[in-house]
Amino acid sequence: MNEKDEKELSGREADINALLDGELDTDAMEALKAAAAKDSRLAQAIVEAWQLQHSMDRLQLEKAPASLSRKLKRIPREQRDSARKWLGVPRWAAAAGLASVAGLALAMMMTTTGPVGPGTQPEVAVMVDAERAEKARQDLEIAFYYLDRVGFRVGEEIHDVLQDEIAAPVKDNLSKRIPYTEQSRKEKQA
Amino acid sequence: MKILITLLTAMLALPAWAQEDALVDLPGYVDFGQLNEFYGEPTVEIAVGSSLLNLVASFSASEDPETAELFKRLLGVRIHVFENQDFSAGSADHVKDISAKLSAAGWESVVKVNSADEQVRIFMKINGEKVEGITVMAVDEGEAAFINVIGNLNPAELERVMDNFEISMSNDDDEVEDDDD
Repeated sequence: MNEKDEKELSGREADINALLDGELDTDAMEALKAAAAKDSRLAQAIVEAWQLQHSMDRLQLEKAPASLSRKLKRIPREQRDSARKWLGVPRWAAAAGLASVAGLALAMMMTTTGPVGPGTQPEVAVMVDAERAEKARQDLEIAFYYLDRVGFRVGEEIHDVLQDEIAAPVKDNLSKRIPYTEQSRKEKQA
Repeated sequence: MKILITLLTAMLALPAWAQEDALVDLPGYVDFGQLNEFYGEPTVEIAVGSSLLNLVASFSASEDPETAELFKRLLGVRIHVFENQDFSAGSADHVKDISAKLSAAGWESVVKVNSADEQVRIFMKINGEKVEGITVMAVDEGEAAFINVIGNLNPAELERVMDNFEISMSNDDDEVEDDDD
């Protein structure tokens, strides 16, 4: 990246910040969208900035590392005046604009090496990984919920068919292989 | 802003089908066939591959090293759930067909429930002392769940993982569901 490119990207930081704050007016949004369409680094920067902000919000970190804070502070907040113009824009129009930029950024994300690429700051990579891990953990929680639910139903079925006296030894034996069928017994005991 | 967040969040992880493609060649993988033909559109569809499992493991290692160790040995977790839909008449036969294929492929049938309104099958793929996969198929009038856990796993560990997630199957939940029905 040459010095001119660096300056251009740096000049867009205020727009990116305003976009994430929902304070970018429609003209500026269109301009940013057009620029991102031509510049994959800009689209990547939009994605990374959003991921950074969103990860910080979701993970509720006690305190960001100093290096990360510096990165956040590098994004200037100079668009407050233009944000006032945005107040006159219908919310649906602003939302549509946001969706367009998001779609554009996503398209760029899919065509580049991804948010955790060689050029990504380590802090950003860690935050993105944390978000992916949290999403996967939630998916696993859902999967195990249904697994447990089936085990519960099977346990109930065994009780219904065999009644308690016979069901216990059958389930005890079964539980050595599939312990989660024990759930119904635990619930009954509770 | 919410639209932006929703779109970006949805795209952060690879889609389920992309995760699932990476699991197809594993010995514990089960081809459930064309589920949509029998059960309609899934309400829950999850496929977590080994890379994401490793990621979860690395992030949970400090809090719960044992669970992290289990996740490292899991290669994939897949789930397809269909709810509140009229299942086709062939759904019971579908479960039997998949069961026959699993038995032929060396899966061990551990649980079989055949009742008028419910079909449940639980299979395990065992290779020597090692469990390579667990498959659960449960279909009743209102819900169908197809679950496939792939990897070197110990069933006793699964229970502990569930405890770790604080999964609750309270009677209150069941009553709520009954009310809904």
